[in-house]
Amino acid sequence: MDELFPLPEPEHEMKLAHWLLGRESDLDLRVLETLLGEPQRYRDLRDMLIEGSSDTPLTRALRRLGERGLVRQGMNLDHPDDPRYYAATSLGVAVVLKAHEMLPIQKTLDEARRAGLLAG
Amino acid sequence: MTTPSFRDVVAKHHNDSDAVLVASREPCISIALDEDANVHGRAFQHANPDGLAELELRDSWIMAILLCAGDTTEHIARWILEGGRDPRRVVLYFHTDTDPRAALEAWHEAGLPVYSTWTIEDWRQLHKHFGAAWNVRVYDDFR
Repeated sequence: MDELFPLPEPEHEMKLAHWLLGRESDLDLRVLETLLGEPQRYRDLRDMLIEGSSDTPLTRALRRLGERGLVRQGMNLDHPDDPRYYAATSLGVAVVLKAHEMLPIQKTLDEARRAGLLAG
Repeated sequence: MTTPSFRDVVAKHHNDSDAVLVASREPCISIALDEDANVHGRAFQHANPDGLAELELRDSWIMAILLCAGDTTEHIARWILEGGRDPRRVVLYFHTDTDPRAALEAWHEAGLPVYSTWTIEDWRQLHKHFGAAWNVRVYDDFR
């Protein structure tokens, strides 16, 4: 069950940006974009980003982003009814900026695929 | 000026940073020991909450506090305050059976910010999150 401590891969920021842009839903990217300015309480994120009654997609997105070191979860115990808050890490900021650099390329590739010019 | 790549900074400096796993009761002790036993490539220090004063840490460090049901943060909060240490270097891991509010009572009373927390059930969940958190810590310290 040996496992190496995970050193980041070469082009780590680009690979994470690619992962963000390649997701079926853009929720992970929108969460990270929302956290660029300042930390947000969980409830505020939910109100801004989730339509409908279930916030499971948001919980899962935050879990994915946290496991990759893109977001940190803090707690403000002065807000007992909603103590969790989230902030982008330095890596999260770098990745969302990289994703924005890549967005035009991604859109071009998507259009090319739709037009049958690219496989997959 | 270009921003240094995350990979370059972490690969160059990951051995210049200390990581400490703190646990005082089961299953947190086993989770911490499993992390150490199963993961190679970096060395951890282990500590009990009442043995923190014996730690010798370099300027770059990160600490995972594993909190299981019944744990408190009294010793850790005192260690942070008395040493003028940066609480942002502490990641508080709650086992799924832990009541975060009860565990953090002393931390909160000490006026310390709860900068980074995560909920874990086993060492793999700890490993995934703490690995990423340590890499970000190294990047922030050495970029």
